[in-house]
Amino acid sequence: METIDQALATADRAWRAHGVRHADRAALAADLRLDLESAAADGVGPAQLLGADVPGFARRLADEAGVHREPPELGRLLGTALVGGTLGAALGVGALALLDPLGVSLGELTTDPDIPVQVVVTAYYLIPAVLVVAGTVATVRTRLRDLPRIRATANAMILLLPLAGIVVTPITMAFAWMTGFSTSSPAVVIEMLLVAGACAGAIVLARRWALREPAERHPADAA
Amino acid sequence: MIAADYSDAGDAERQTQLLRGALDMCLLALLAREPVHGYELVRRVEAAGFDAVGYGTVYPLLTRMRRLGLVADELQASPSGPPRKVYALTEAGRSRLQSWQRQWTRFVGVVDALLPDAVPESPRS
Repeated sequence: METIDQALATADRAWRAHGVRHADRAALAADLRLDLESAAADGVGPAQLLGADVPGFARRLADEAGVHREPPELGRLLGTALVGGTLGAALGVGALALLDPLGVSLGELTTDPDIPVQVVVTAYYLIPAVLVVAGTVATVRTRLRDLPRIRATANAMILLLPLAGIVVTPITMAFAWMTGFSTSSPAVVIEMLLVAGACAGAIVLARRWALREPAERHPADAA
Repeated sequence: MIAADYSDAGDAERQTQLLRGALDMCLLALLAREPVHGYELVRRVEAAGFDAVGYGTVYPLLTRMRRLGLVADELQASPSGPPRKVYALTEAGRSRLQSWQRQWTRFVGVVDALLPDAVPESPRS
């Protein structure tokens, strides 16, 4: 049997997915809780009152309350980021291929005793990494300019994507080490998924961060 | 049997459409009689004969009317259980109800005037 807290948690998830701001969600939930508690005191539980489609009820309620909505559109954002990231990766591979004839290959640099190998590897892989981030951010910003707060989202991505890269690189390296730096398909796929997952997490976080807002007035009071 | 099902579904859909245009007015009318809390309002709607109207329909509508200033709410202590948010009609709500009532009466008058002659006594052969 569904409790009031469970019903409100379901409603909150629906409001979040519907793009309702935190302050409005809190106000809607506080009002709804009062009513649900009144009904519960009369012996009527939230499941009986709200029916099976609590998310549908929550969306209807938010619409009728006239709350300001900023849908995260995460699916669209992640799809666009994937396209941008792939373009950036292709540019990165192209850039490394261009450096190779100039004598700036990884193999040659790592044999130079004057330069620490860690510095060489980091600098070498920084080029495609920067291009991936740049491609992702630029594509998101230009292709999704119709989305609210996309500029703030892109700015947050500039900060969070490199951080995700810094976090996931040692994890991926550790996994690669555990598999003996295997180049088998399953191992490579898992490594790619680790990196993609971290990047996707950073993008989702960036969007949430961009959409967060200070506490505001009660939604039903907004004429 | 299929025809009967179709007819039932059609009737239900028609009832929903009719209700959509009148439910807000009915809620205002119920609140004009006496301020009540949300769940009690649903019970009164059901008692009035709209048994297909649930809380999931009434509560969002009540929220909209509150946003529009037609209804105001006030937290009242309850002798049994937690404090309850009681909804009452505002002056704007009362004025709107009168206006809607006049409109509804005119509308029903026109429809009623049309209906008696609309269906022939016996079908043509």
